[in-house]
Amino acid sequence: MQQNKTFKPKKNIPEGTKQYQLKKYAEATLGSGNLRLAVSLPEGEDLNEWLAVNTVDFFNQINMLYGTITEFCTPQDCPVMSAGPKYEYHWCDGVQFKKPVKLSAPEYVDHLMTWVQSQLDDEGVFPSKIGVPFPRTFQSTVKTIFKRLFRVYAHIYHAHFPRIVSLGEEAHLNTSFKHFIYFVQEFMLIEKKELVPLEELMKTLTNENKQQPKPVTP
Amino acid sequence: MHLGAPAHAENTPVAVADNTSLPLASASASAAPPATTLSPPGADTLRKCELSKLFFLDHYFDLLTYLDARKARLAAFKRDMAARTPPPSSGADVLATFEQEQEAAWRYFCGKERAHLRKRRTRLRLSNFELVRQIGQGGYGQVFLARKRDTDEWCAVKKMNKHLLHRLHEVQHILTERDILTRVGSPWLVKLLYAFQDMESVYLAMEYVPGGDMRTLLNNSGVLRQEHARLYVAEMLTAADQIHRLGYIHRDIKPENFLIDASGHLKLTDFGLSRGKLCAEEIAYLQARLETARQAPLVHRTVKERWQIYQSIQREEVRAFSLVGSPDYMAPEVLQDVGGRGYDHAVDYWSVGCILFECLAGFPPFAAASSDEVWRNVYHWETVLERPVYTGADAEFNFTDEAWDLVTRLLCHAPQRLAKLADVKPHAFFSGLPAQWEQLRADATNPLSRGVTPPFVPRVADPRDTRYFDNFEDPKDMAMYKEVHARQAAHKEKEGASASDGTPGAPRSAFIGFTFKHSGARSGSI
Repeated sequence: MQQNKTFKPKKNIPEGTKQYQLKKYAEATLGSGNLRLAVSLPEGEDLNEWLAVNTVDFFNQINMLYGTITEFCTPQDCPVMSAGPKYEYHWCDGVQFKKPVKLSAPEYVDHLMTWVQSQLDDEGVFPSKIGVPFPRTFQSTVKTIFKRLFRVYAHIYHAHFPRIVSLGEEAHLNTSFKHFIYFVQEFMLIEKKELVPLEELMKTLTNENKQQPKPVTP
Repeated sequence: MHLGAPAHAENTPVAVADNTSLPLASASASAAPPATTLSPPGADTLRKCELSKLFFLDHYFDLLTYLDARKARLAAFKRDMAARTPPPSSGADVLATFEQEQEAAWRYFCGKERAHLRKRRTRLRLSNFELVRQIGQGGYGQVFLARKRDTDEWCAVKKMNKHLLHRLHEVQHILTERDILTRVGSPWLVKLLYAFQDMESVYLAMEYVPGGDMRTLLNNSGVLRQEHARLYVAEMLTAADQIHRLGYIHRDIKPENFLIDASGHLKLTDFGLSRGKLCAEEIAYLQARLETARQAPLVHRTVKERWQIYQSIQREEVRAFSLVGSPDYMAPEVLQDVGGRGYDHAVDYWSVGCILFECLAGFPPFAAASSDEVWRNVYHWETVLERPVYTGADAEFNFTDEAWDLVTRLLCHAPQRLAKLADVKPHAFFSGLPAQWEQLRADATNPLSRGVTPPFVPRVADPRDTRYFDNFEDPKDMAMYKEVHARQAAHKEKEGASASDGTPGAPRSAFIGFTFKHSGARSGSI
C-alpha cells in the first residue's frame, strides 16, 4: 500500500535536524517504492544524462562500500577475484592486459575501479561542460561499467558479507545494491547471465512481499 | 523507458575487450574460508565505516530532496503552461505561434533541468575555482585565495600533494583535519566548504578569512596593551574549547593558526595534528631532539638578553621556524610524551599561555636563537620561565600581577594547570569581559547582540584584497620559505628515486571518503 505513494517530506519534523534526515533516510531505505521511483527517467530528461549521473552515483557508493572492507580483502584472503565458489573473474582491459588474467580480488577491484574512474574523468565519454553531447557509443560504455561494478557487489556479498554485518554496513550494502538492481532492470543494462551469481539475493531484495532481505550464504 | 541494444554495438569504442566470467566445474577453487571469529577492525576501517554511514545518509537525503524538488518544479511548470491560453477567437496562425511558444518553453525548461543534472554529476575540480593568488605555504602544499566560479564563493584553497603526504606519513593527519572540518559549525573555527581531489593532489577549500593571522598582527604590533591581549586570549581559549567539545585536542596551537576575520575576531584553523597519532619517523625525530636537549647545557639568559635575541632574529626566520616545527608553543608533556599519548587537552591551554606571554612581552617565553635551544628551554621550562622586569622608561612593559598570575597558571605542570574554560574565566585578568565568552563575537542570528569590538579590524577594499597575507610574488617575502621549499624539493627527489625503484606511492584507496560539499551546496533547488 506504501508503494503507490510518492515520496513526500514530512513537515512536522523541523527541517535540517538530524531526526529529519534520519526520517528521510529511513523512508528511502525501507519504503522500497521510493527506490523504484528514484530510478525512472524524469519526464523530459535526456536518457544519456540520466544514465551518466546514476553511473557516477553507483561508482561512488561502491567505492565507499568496498573501502570499508579493503583491510580484509587481501591477496592472502582473496587470492582470486570470485563471486562464490562457482564464479571467477579474470581481468582483461585490452590495454595493459590483452588476455584475461587471474588476479587477486584487491588487485582486480583496483584495476576495475581505476578503469571506471578513468572513464568518468574522460571528457570525451562523460562530458562535464554544459551543452557538450555524449559520444554515440555512450550507452555501450555505460553497460560495460555496470557489468563490471556488479562484480564488486558480487564479490563483497560472497566473500565479505559476515564482515559487512559485523561492521554495521549491511543496510547500506543492501540499499545500495537494491537501488543498483532496480536501475539495471529499468534500463536493461546487464545481461542475465552476468547476474547469475547474485540471482537469489536479487529476488529476495526486490520482492516487495517479503519483509527482510536475507544475505547470500556462500 | 528501456535501453535497447546500442545502435553502434559493432564498433564499440570501449578500448577494452570483454572480461570473462567463468562458471567453474569444481566447487573447490575459491571456496570461502570457514566462518571463524572475525579479527577486530583497524582504526582506518572504523573511520571509513563512520564516513560510509554519513555518506549514505547524505546521499539518499540529497537524492530524494532533488527528486522531490524536481517534481515540484515540473508540476509548477505544467500549471503555468495550463494557465496560458491562446487569445480567444484567434486564427490558425496565432494558434500555431502559441503552440510553438509552448514548445519552446518546454524545451527551455528541460534544458535547464538537464544542465542542473549535469552539474550534479560532475565532480568538483580545481578548474571550478579561479585561483587569485597564493596566500600561504605549508609543509606539503600551498594555500590560494580562490573564487568558486559558479557560486561566487570566496575561499582559501589548500592544495596538498598526495605523494608528499604519503611520504611524510601525513595522510592520517589530513584525513583527521578533513573529518574535524566537516563537523565544524562554530564561528570560532574555520569552516570547510569543499574537499576534492584529483590524481596528484587533495584540496581543502575553506572559508576565506581576510585579516591575516595572529603572527602577522604580533609582528606588526610588538607588544599588545593588556586589554587587547585580554580579548584575544579569551577568544583563543573559546576557540580551543570548541575543538575540545568536538572531542579533539588541537596540539599545534600557535599564533599562525589564529586567523583574523572580517570583523576582527579570531578563528582557529589547521587541525592536521589534532588527535593525530605520531608515526614512527616522527617519534624517532622527537626522541633525537629531546636527547639533544637533555644533554646540552642550559645557557641562562636574562629576559633582556632573550628579548634582544628575539629582536635580532629576522621576523622572516620566526615564521620559517614555526613552519618547520619549532616547539615554542608546545607543552613539555607533548615533547616528552613519546608515543604514549600521556597528555590531554590541557596542552592547548599551555600553548595559549605562551601566546599570552608573547602578547605582553613581545617574545614567546622560550624564545632562543636556534630551534635546538628552544627545545632545551622548553625542556627546562621551570628554570627558564621568568617574569620580565623592566625599569626606567621600559617599566610600562612590566606584566601586571594578574597577567603574570595567569601566565603561571597556564605555564605549569599539567595537573595544576587551568584547563577548563569555566576555571579560566573567573581569573582576575579577564575581569571586564562579558561572562559568556561566546558573546565576545556578535551572534549572527541575533540582531541585538553586538559583541566586543576588537582593537584591529581588517580593512579590505574588495574580496581580492590580500594585503594581510605574505606576498608570494615578492622574492623578499619568499626568502622566509626557503627552508620549507628545500624540504619539499628533497622529498620530491626521493619521490622521483622511488618511482623507479618500485616503492609504491599512495594507494588509490588511501583518500576514499575525502570528498565533501557543505550543506548549502547540495540542496535540490536550482
